[in-house]
Amino acid sequence: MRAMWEFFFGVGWLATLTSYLTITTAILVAGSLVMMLLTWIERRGLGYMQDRKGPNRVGPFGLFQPIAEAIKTITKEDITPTDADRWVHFLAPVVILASTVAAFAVIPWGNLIPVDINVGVLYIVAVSAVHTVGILMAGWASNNKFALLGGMRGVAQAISYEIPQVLSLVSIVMLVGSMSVVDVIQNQMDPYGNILSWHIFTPVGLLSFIVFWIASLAEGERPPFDNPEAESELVAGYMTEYGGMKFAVLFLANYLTNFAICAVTAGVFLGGGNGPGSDIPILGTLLSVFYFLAKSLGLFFVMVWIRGVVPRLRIDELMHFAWKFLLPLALVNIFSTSLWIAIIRWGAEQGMGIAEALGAPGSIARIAVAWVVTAIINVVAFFLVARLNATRGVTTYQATPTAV
Amino acid sequence: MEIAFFIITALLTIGAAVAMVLSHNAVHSALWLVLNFFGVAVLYLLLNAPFLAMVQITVYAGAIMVLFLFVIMLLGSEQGQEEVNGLPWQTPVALVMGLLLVVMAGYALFFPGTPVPTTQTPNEIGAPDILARKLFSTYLLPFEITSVLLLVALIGAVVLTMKSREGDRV
Amino acid sequence: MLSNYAFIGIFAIAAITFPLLPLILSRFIRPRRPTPIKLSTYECGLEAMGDIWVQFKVQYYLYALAFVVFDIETIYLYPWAVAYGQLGLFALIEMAIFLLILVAGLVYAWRKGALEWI
Repeated sequence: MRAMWEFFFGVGWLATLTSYLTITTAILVAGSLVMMLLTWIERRGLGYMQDRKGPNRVGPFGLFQPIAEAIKTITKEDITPTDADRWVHFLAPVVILASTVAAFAVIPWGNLIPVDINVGVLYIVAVSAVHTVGILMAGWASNNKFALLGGMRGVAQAISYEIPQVLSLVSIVMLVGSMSVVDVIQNQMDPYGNILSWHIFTPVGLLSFIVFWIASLAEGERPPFDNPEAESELVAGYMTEYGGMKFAVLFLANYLTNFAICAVTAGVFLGGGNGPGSDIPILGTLLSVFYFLAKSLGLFFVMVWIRGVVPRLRIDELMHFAWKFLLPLALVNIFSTSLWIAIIRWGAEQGMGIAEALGAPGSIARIAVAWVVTAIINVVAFFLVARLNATRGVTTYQATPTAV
Repeated sequence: MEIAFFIITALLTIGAAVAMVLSHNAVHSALWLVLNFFGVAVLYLLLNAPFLAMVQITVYAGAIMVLFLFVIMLLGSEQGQEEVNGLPWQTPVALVMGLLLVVMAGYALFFPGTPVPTTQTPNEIGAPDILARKLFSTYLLPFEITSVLLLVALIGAVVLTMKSREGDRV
Repeated sequence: MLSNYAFIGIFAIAAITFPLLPLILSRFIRPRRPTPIKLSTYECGLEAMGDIWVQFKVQYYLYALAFVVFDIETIYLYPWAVAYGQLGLFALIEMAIFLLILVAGLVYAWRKGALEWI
């Protein structure tokens, strides 16, 4: 009897499961708290940008506003329209939130690493790709014209921007030589705490950051890319028929996506939890979590800032921007990254005997040459692609009555 | 433990596939297919091929699925009437093919050939960098042909849709 | 290595439970007073007219197909990117050929006006 007990509920097995569950719960709770903070930052930030105060009544500085709203939505009546497809309508918010949350399994909070897998970057890409299926489910199941249109637009936008987003990460994977998120962050570690080792401070990293950041704004449906829920055109897009707790789940998914975007950007381009003192044994862990959150929330503030300043794009401009501007730039950036690596790291063994004239791999002269070459390529490409798009002149948008 | 997990996943995958075939609603079928893709991805993980699993989810559950759903939305076929079977020869052909597959699977199961000796441990085979080395040495030609195939798909789509659009627009 | 994926599996299950929990919880708390009007489809206060299915532009399909093509291309780029540092000039040329063929597709679609959203 005892042997059987140990076989099924062996101590090691149970301990592992318990630790996994604890870590999972901790991440979910921390994520929800950060999400509440984000909604508060967004409203207060937008409030001050628009010369008003924003929510300031519930708790100090209105900090408890998100809690009040959570109570409100959970006690609110939930409506499933008669014409809706009940199950798909119910499952759509679940799919959308689950695909967002799943990405957090590999995102390190400073030095606290949930799990490190050798395909980490691709894992984030994969689970967030499921998001689009959820949007289409929500749009279709509502059986509402605005919802279906919003869903179709949302998916068209999400897939268009996914290409430049994922391509821009290829450059970083090339620089690092690994798809593990932890390796990506370690690669930006400098023993002297020098922030110039962050990926964003190289010509290829900078262009990659620009493409990734803009594409991510579109993926997260942040203004100015919020066409799927453009309230002046589509009521609330694919969320039109969602109310009560289901809407709250969609709302939560939206902000968690934004947080995931900020966290990944901070990790991939801004060194994650790296900063002065982050390698001290115990205090360093706390510091690294602080740096990570500071960088992520700083990036989120930039998102709010952009929302306050930039008007929404028209749908045709939005699609052209992805395919005709960001995609060519991402491809050029991959080319210049391959040159960067060839000039800095390769020798005769890899077929780059010419580079030996500049000194050993990693020498200052080589880095300088790589800097100049890639910077010139990227800047020229930027202006070339911009010109290519500009010569078309002002395109006039003609709404056709039959096709939308 | 692993075998139990495999059986559960395999049953779920097959169940999703059956539900997909039996579902009358095109969108429901597509959603069952997503579940099926996930099951296959988990099976890849069990085979120590995490890269393939991620590709399965990104390309199939993400990209191909969107294409399917867009086509369903374009045709509006989910509100379809009970269709007449336009391909009467389809059922017997499908039966024969299915039977052949079962025979082949059975043959592979009961008469296993000599296993191909590998120098790598299973853990290494699925690793991305080893995959890349294989792709750029042994399997170079298929890899380059893939790009031509993708190009053909893109050009085909452009030609077909541009034609229909010219007809549409006034 | 599989234990890493065991964690991800547990995390995935938790990720699915995470939205289900409040959805089910709210079922016991919230009021439920449906009326036919309340449950009707929203259409700016008017009665819903016709079918929800409208003719979508073929453009959606075209973008989806271009997306599939470029998504597969991107996926091929990832293992190459991981191994690129050690592969050498030969791999660079091979990938350049692969990319050039696909860029030719992009240029073709662009010139044909297939990327226009009209």
